Amino acid sequence: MSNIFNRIAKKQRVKYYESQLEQLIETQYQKMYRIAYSYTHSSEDALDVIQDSFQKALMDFSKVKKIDHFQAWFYKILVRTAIDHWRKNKRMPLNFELEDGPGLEFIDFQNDVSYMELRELLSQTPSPEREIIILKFFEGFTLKEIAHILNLNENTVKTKMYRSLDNYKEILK
Amino acid sequence: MGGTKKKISMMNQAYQAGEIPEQLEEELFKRFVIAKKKVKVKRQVKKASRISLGIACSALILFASVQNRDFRVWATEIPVLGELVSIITGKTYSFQEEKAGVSIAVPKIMGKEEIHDQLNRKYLAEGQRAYEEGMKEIKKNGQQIDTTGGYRILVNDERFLVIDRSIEQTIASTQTNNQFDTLDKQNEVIVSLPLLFKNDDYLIALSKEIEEQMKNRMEKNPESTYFALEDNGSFLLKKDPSFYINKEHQLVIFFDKYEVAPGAMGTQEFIIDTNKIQSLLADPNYLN
Repeated sequence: MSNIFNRIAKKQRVKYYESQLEQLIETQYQKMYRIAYSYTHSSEDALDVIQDSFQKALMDFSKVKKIDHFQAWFYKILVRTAIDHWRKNKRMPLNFELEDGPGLEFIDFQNDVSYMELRELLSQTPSPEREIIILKFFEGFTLKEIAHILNLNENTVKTKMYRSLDNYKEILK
Repeated sequence: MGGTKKKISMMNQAYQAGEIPEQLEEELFKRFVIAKKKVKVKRQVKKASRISLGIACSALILFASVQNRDFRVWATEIPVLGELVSIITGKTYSFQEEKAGVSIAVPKIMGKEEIHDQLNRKYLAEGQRAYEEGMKEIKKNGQQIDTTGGYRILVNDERFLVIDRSIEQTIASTQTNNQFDTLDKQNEVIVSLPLLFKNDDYLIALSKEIEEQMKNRMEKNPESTYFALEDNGSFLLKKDPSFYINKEHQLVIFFDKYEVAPGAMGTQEFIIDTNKIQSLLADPNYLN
């Protein structure tokens, strides 16, 4: 008998997580898009990455027993999917556009920074420092959440964050 | 640090200024629905392929085992690949002497569900016990006792898995004891009569039905008798009778040799017409 209850509980769990994801889309759709876009640099690809992440999340709902931090759990999937996409495309030497971007030395931090310049800067930042910068400074995640998303120790996240900030100080004199 | 902060904030401004497509929210919900559909299809394909592979494998094994005795022996030894529920001989306990022997083949369900584990553990424990008991008998009586334990898969479709395990003891005549397990694959439960029916009324209904069938059989074949019938011709089914669900998904009540009739008549099975018990079932459509 307990098996029937397990199945019912599982169904309810899946339903609950689906509604959580829907809520997340409703409240954070821009966040999802910006994160995906910062890797794909193409609107269509960003949407594809998000769709793939939805699919992975939906597949996982019936497998996982308990999701502790739903938001962080979903962004983990999203960031990984985005990184995978980015790696795949990096291998294809089609990224002329990127090379056309202004070199770092031209970024004038006395005035505005354009999105192109930012992109250039981020593309020169290795993983996971790049994710830490995006998630912490641009999307306002806490260090604890970032640690969850990136599967790192919270202290490691902190150290890496300060290191990359120092690095930026160096580059962006 | 101040300079860096300013730079970061400028970077942030640039990041936030990135264009967001119009109607992004609607678009994402659309994508969510697409993802949901894809996951559903994926699941169905997985399920269907599992089922069809299962059907193909069981059909092949069934065909081959009907054709060839050697294959029967061999087939019990090979595990079938894939996620379908297949049954192999998990362990064989055997001991052979000139005139006495014990051989118990224990079925093993190759499945991942907890219920499969549960059954496997039970089979193993009971197989071992049957072996030990067989050995004890040999020691006690010295010779000429043969104990053979085996199993048959009666049904293995997408709905039910029915395993019949039998222990056969041959001294002068043969005594056989059958045990059935009917596994509901969809709900992952072992079917029991109290689970199947609303209340205990089923015992009366089944008794009546079996009584009628017994009388019919006696009429058709005057040589058959059922000593289980009372003097006034009525039959009362004891609680927890052996049963299984057959390929047509009908309930079958089973009696071992000597249980309700003389040994010469062998085992007795009574197929219960689903229409006759439908109103008593906990879920009227369960056997459909």
